[in-house]
Amino acid sequence: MIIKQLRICDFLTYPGEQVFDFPNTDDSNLIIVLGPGNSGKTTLIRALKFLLYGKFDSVKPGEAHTLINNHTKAAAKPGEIQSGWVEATIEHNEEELCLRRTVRAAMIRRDVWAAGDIVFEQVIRDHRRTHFVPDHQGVFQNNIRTLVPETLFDAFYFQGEPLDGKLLGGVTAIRHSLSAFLHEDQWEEAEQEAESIRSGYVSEIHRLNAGNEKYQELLRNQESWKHLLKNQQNTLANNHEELKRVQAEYVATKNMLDELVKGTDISALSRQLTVRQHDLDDAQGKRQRCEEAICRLVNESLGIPFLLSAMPVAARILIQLKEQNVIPADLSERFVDRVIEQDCCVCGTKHTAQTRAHWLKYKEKTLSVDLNRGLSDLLSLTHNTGTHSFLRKSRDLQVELGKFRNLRGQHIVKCQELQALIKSIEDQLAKYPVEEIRKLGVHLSTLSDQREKLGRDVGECDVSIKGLTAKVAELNKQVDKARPKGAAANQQGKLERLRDRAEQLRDLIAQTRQFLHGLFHQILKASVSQDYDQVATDGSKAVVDYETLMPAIERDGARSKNLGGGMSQLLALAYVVALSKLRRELHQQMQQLQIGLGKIDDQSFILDSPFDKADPNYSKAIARFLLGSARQTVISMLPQQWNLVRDIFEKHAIRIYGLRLYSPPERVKHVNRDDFSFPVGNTHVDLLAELPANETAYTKLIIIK
Amino acid sequence: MPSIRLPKSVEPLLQFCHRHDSSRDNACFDTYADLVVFAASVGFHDLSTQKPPASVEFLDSPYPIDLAIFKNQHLFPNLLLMGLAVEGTQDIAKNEQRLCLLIEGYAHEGAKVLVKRLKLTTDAAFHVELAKMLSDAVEEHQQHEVKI
Repeated sequence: MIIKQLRICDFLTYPGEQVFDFPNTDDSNLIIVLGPGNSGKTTLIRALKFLLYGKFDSVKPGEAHTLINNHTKAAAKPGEIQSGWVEATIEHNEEELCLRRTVRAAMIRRDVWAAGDIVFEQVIRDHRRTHFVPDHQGVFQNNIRTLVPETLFDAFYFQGEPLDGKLLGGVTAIRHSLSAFLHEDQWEEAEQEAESIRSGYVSEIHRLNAGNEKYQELLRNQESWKHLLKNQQNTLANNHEELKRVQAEYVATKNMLDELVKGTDISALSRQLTVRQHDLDDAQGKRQRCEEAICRLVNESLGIPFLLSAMPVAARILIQLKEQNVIPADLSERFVDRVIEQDCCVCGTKHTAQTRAHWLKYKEKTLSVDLNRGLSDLLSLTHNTGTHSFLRKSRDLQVELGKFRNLRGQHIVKCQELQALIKSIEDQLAKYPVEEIRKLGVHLSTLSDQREKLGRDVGECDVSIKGLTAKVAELNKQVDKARPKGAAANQQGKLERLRDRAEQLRDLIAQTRQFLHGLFHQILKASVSQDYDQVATDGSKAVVDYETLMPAIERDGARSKNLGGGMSQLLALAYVVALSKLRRELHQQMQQLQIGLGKIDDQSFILDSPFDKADPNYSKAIARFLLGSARQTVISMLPQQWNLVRDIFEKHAIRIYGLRLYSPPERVKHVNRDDFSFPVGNTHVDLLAELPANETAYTKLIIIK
Repeated sequence: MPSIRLPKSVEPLLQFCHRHDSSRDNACFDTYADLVVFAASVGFHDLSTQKPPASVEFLDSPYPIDLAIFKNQHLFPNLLLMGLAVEGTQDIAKNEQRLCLLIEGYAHEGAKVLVKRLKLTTDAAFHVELAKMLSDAVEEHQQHEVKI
């Protein structure tokens, strides 16, 4: 549905008659509406919804008068009737159709209004006067509902944020709209109806053979085996479909991978890198073990090699002490004290002055226990021939240190060589998007596994179907053989034929439904991919789920769960455009087949602030996308958003409107004037005007370009 | 029981002790006592039987190490060896206080030598430098013996 002109009169924030012309040329289809907050941007969409369906979300029944502009109502006198209306001229069947919906209400007394009534009518203007044709039969209303089903209104005329919330936040509003639009419930109903007819005939056949239990048993068997066969055939069809999808994805991924690694043996390089890194780890480990061994040997050395020159002097003293029986000695200084204190010697002989003198002389040479032990230990350590001698220990240490220092040197050289080699391989690999290749490789491997499993499933299904078909054929023969003869046989044959036809019809509906679902998926996927992939700024890709027909974003072969920065808006827009293409295509096909559904034209889009929460890159991406995606696009936005996309939109816009807010001084003084200033061309347009005190605020449309 | 204080000159070497709070990967000494004995041995070797001047500045932390620790860790023979060799008599063995002062002096001299060697290399390669010093000392002793 393309809108040529939208007129709003005395409706909500719009006082008097205000006319939006939506020109459309081959070069441009973009109309911009600039407006500060609360100036009536969203009201445009609400007014359109009111016109098309007579509904206004926030207005309760009986309060329709609240839709009439406050300014208009303030001037009314008791008893007077005031009205507000929305009118649109649209393209319909290559002609123009003008429709108006009016709300009228009578003022009872100040601030009290009668409920008001709403009228929908066609408007015909000629040179002299304007004619109104009320839509008593609901013909125009039906036309409108065909052009834009109410369930899809929010998809084509929306605020940027809510739609992507509906699409991607798990809420199934759009899915329900799509389901309704595809008449999924009716397909299901038709299939169930065919099945119910078939079951009816099956019951009839059973009733006809009520007395023949054996035959009934055969019929029951035939029925249950046929049921099994049908289930298996359905499973096979699903598996085939899934296999086809996986195969297509496998081929696409493989092609992408081949393209990325073209002209190089990247896998050989990667293998080489892995091997070299492993070698490096090994060499570093060995080097580390050498370092640890050297540290251990240094610690265990206790600095002994530095003391070797001390050994001759020390050995001489220690040998003297040994010769004097001072070391190693079992008798300590304290022991001698204890012996002298006693009356007898250790041999039992009584102490004399002479023996005591000998003991005292000996005591002069005795040492404390630990000193004695220290000197005794030292004595053995200074023996050059001892296995634990300082000299032996020093020589062993020298050999061990030499060995580990050499090994360490070798490993250092090896590490350096390997590091140089690894760097050279990494430099070669750096020319290719290795991470992307790796992820694609992983994805490809997953797909390959899936393909293999589905292939096995299909094979198993095939075998099972063969077995079941044979069983059903066998049962058919048995049923034929046991079939009653005579008049009952004729009736029986007739019922069986009818049952078979009902069965064929049921299967045909199921197949057609599946075929159409596949077709819808194909159309949506092609359109969403084409629109999204070209403008996405981060290499992500759009996909459409086969089962749910809902869009999602894939990056590096994996579904993105957290969409942000504008990706979701872009995806939502691409999906909505795809949806409009699907509708148009479907209606064209139906028309060619002459099976109802009136023709629908190109879809127009009115978008309120589609850049909410989008980062600058995605805002520009969305702007570029909107430029070429529809025959008519109307976008309203705030100053901050305009500044982001002005360089893209300004030169392409066929018309730029401004919504100037007229406000009393008590409200004006609280606002930031920058929020009302829009740069256009070489000048700034001010969209705030001050009214006298206590006046009611209103919005007026101005043409900026 | 007398104790051995850590000369201030040892401070840059503390990082090579496993006991130290910020010990390095290539720490070579399990305890501060091991480090002191090693440094004293280097000092003894460097001064070649001369008595070391008494060290005057000591670290507050780590605390002085009780001589009993050296005895328990089988480091005492090394201290005695230095004492006997420099004094030429057994008297030093009986005077533990004097022995401790002597070892502090050697440790101070040795630490100076080690810090000088540390400056010639990197912290990460210091253990290799120590290994080289040890090997050189053995080599030097062998050449000396051959001459004799």
